[in-house]
Amino acid sequence: MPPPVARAQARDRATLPRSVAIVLSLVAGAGAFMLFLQFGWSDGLDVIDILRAVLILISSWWLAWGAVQGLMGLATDARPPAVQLDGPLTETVVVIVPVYNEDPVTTFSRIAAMDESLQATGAAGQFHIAILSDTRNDAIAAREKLWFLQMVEERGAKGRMFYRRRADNRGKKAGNIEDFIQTSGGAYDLALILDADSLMEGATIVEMARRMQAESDIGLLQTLPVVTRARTRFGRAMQFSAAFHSPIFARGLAMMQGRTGPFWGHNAIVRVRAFAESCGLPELRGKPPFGGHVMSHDYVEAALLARAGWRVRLDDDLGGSFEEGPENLVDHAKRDRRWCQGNLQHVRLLMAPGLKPWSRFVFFQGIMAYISPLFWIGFMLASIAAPFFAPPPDYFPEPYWPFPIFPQAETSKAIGLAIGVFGLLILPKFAVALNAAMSGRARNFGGALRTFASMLAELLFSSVSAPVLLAYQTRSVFQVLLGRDGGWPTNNRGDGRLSLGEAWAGSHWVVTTGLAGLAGTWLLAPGLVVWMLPVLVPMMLAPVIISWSSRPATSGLFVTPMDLAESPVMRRQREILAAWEGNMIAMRDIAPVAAAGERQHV
Amino acid sequence: MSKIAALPVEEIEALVQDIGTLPAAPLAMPKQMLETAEPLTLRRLARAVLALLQIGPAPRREM
Repeated sequence: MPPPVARAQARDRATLPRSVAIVLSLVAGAGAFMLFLQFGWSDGLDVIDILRAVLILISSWWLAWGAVQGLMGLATDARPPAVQLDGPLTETVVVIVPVYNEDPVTTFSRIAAMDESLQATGAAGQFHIAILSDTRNDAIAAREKLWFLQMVEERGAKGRMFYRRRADNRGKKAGNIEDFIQTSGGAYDLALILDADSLMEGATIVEMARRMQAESDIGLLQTLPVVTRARTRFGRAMQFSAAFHSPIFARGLAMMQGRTGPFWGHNAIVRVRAFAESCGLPELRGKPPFGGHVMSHDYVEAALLARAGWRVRLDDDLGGSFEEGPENLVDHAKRDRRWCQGNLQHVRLLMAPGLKPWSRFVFFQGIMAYISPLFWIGFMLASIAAPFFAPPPDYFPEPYWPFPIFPQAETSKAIGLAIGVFGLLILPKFAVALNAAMSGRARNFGGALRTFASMLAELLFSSVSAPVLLAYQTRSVFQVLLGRDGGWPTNNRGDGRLSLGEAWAGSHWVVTTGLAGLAGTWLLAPGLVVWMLPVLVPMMLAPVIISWSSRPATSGLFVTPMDLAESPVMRRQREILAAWEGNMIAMRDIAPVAAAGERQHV
Repeated sequence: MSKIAALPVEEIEALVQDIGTLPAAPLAMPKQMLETAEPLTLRRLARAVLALLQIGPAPRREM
């Protein structure tokens, strides 16, 4: 348990932002509900109208919830915490790098760069680095060992860099970390948990450890990782969006989560004792996808730390925290399939004993993030079916009145509703852009004009790609509900380019669904075809969108701060990787086993 | 790199064992209680909602 004094002192200041967000989003949802009911009333209210109004209520509330989060993030700035550590860092820290069939050369070059950056801080004596391999491919594991030795030799890191490979990968990443804590956790006060594609500045790592030492009731401190190194159009657009919008949305999220803050599974530091006492994850009863090991373990671990009284905090003022993202839509969808299963599995944990109410709500939010497209699809299907349920128009509703009374046209209300929904989607992005222009933040993105153009281009691209992504997401939800386990595929971290044929292979079912949707609408409700086109056309063009967006970005848009001023640790990692790749070519003539793995992987 | 890559596999294994072995400092990590005796399922949720609205099937009574 955390120190009682600290627990008593720390109050949850999230009540007000939570209340404001809940009220505002409910008002927006209720407004959409009423507007739609008025629209449905024009030709007589029937059960389909009520169903559609309820679906609009849920969908609009969910959109408004996201919008409010973004707007709340604008209401405050990123600030360092009030409590600062006086004196030197005395707590011992282990930097944990779990790897799973990753390319060792790239992964270890990141570790070498971080080690160099840590050494430069002068506090490196407090730090160890542990590479925890869950790699199943023996050729890749052989290369991991070679490159580990190479890295230790180059960095003079004997005694502070460690490597172990598990015999089996039970419990996946959470099991990997648990295994480490059970064997070596007692040697450390704090553990920085990374992903194989994480990269952090040494100064950031030291500052995180200092903050943990200064406030002994914090169980976990999360940074906001910035997506870097994207090369494709898709990757660059996502990278820009993450760099430009995510800090604002994350700040709004942090305001609402308060003491039960987020944990995203990496680029976060934990208090080892707190983690060990609170976060041992059991296997859930039954088989995957709902049973078995907890897939999205990070949300659960954050909830368990909060349940035990520890504080989980997002410090968005900390820079120097990086990760890489998927380079194309198909890789994004693959990762999303895993997240979808993990989040839907949380339905089993909604009633877990003793959780903070907000932790339960976080699980609910994760579930909603994946099932919300079903409400939109339900609304579209109900709209196509609506004409069959509508009562015949009654032109003589008044008895003894000789002249016909025509139903009042309520198209304006439908248009108003569509504008409102669109507004909820784009308002926060425009607000963030305006704020960036006024505060000078836009300078880091290439100036106000270029930032605004990038924001518009990202908005356009996300609007076009959204129906394709929603199709993948909907399929994932159905797969999980039908009991299909998606497993734990390795993240693809190549250049990401997809030919039209490859894109077709990954998305032909989206095209078929789009064509069927168009045919169905045309036959059953021709008046709705125009309204459905923004969804159906991108679906029918899915392979073109996927292939086009996977090509290298060449425009001057989507500039991020890291493009203008590369972080020192990123530059060093690039240099180390280039040097090692040169060595790798020389090595192929010497080590046949490793070289075989090399050829397979490069 | 070429020096290390030229080593036989056994020697690489031994070196990794020697250099890479983590410090032994076990820490207990007890499994946490996450599920209630009767976990929430869609069927249970639907039954609870129906019971709340008093439109579900009447509970069975022992004779």
